[in-house]
Amino acid sequence: MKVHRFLTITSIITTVALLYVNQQITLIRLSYDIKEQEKTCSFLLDRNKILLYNIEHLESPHRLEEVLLANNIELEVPSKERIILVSATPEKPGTSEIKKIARATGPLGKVRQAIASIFVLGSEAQARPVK
Amino acid sequence: MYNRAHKNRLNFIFSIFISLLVLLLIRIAYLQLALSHNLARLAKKQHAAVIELQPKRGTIYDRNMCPLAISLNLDSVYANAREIKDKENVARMLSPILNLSEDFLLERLTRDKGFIWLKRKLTPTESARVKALCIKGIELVKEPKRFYPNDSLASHVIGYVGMDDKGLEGLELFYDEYLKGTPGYRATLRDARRRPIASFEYEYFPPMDGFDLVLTIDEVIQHIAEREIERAMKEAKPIGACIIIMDPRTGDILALSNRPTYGLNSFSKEPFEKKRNRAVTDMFEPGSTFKIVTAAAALENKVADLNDKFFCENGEYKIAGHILHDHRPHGWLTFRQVIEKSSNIGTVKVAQILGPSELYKFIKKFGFGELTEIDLPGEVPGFVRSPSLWSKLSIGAIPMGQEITITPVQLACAISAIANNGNLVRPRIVRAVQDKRGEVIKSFEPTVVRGILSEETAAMMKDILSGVVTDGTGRLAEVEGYRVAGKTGTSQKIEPNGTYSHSRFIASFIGFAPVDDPRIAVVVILDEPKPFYFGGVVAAPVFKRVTQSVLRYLEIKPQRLMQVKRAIESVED
Repeated sequence: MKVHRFLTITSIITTVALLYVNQQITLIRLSYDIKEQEKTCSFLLDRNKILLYNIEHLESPHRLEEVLLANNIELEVPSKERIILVSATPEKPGTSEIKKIARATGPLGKVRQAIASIFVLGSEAQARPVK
Repeated sequence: MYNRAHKNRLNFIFSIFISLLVLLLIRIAYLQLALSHNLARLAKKQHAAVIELQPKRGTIYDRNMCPLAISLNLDSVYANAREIKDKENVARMLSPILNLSEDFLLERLTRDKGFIWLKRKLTPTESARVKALCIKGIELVKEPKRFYPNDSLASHVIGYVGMDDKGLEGLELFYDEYLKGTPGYRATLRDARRRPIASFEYEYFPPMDGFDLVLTIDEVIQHIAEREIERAMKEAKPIGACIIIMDPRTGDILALSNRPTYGLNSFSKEPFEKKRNRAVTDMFEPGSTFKIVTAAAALENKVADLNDKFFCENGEYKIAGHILHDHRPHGWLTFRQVIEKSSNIGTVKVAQILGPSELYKFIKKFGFGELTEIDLPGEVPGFVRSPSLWSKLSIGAIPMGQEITITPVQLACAISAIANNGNLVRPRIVRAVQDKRGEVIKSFEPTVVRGILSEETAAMMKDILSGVVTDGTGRLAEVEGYRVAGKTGTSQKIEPNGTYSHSRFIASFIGFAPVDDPRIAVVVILDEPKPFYFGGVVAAPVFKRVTQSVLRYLEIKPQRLMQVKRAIESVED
């Protein structure tokens, strides 16, 4: 009986001890994994930052101008005769009326507006260079 | 007999064991009681590690959030000399990769130390090649390095940091406290190979990254200034130059460019002379650009009207035993023409009516002789003497910008005050300090220092200064389609013997545009241009090109085109 009790207690203690050791090993292993992941994350973040820096460097006004000059792209400011100033697109009376109704009647009005807009053509200004 | 001998032997052996046991117990007691404190400390040192966590230095952005200075992590290589066996061979292998001499490396590797820097902040290629060698005792560690995507763009404004990431110049120095951040630490246990174990971490204090700076500088406008100053350096061959572009309404410095300049990514190789921010550290006699102060003071005090006439003595005027000259002889000129044609004699006559104390009062009101409090290190206040220290000749010199020294940034503030309806604004180069999430920590609002002129006087000054460009000495500054105002200046430099030079000049032009709704004020200073040295000849065209490009970039429609359009509309109505 005494031997039996001794063996039982010993096996329980051994099991608990093994579980504890296993837990500690798992913890340490996870720590290494976390460290490895952190390293990868930090590497990728650094890489990302370097790439962003390269983009900024490539897009710097000085470099862009150098590239334009190197490629002999002759850009010039249009002369006065080649500029047409267009005022903001005026709303057609009908269109604004529809919008007013739509605002007043809520979601249902929006449907009406959509239907109405099919039959009303929007005005659009175009600027063309004078040759 | 046998038993006694046997017993004696047993007793002897037993006594030896007992003695050893006693010795062992004494040793244990000694270790546990006498040495326990030291040993526990050593064990803790071996197992526990306190790792310092470096904060990331803040980024510097322009007003449109384009980065001007960022920190990147690079590898630095160090040696644990005690672990390296074949030191000569290691030095031979590393020498071509690190671009360092074998002798230098060998000297470092033969030191009896566990940590010796070999080279800091390697390029990615160098780092990859060192890693590929896999040498025991040669380790890599990450360190932040400051990079500047635009290299020399606004270099005098941004400044640079040293090897230890501390600001040494410019805004990097001025705002170092905000940019550098606060280091943190992590206390944890480590394994036999001294690797920290994250799960056994028992204390963590996170690092606080540095705050970001948002400047008032506009990358594109700065580029325009840099481009035009470079062109001026080629054409007029000055020994130095400075361009400041400012928003007169808010005091925002949109661009500040100096020559000579230097690349921020290779600042250590450049001489100190190139690193000086002339816009705030260099004092000079302004010459005729200073006549704006005399004119404004005269108009404000109502001692002269635009159409009052002054006799300009046909180019020669005797004052305190000295003869004052005009660059071209003039007879009778209206007050407007005195400024338009930059007559020294006419200006001095106006100043004589005004009197020294009133003139001095306005010089101080315009902010000369005091710091503008711009957020850049090394600013000087210039030199203005009080009237009690003036000589009899001073009233013939100070009104036209002699016997007084000022800085380009003071001049920018003065011309901005006229553009801003008589309100002097404080120049602003940093708009806000913000954290990584964009939360504003500190914002710098535009500040009106004081009102120095009435709106009527400011309007009259605008009118006179636009006349300088259309009918006066600044015709080369005229920008097609826009009404611009400005003033030319040509000042003689002082020779080492204290006399005015006849061969070394400072050419300048200050102005703003568009006159009706000023959006930019521009200061152009060229130090010793050759062969032409008149401000109206060498500095005015630079002003014109800068203003033209900046107004176009800011999408400000040409006013004259607008006037034509308005006229057409009124006819149609």
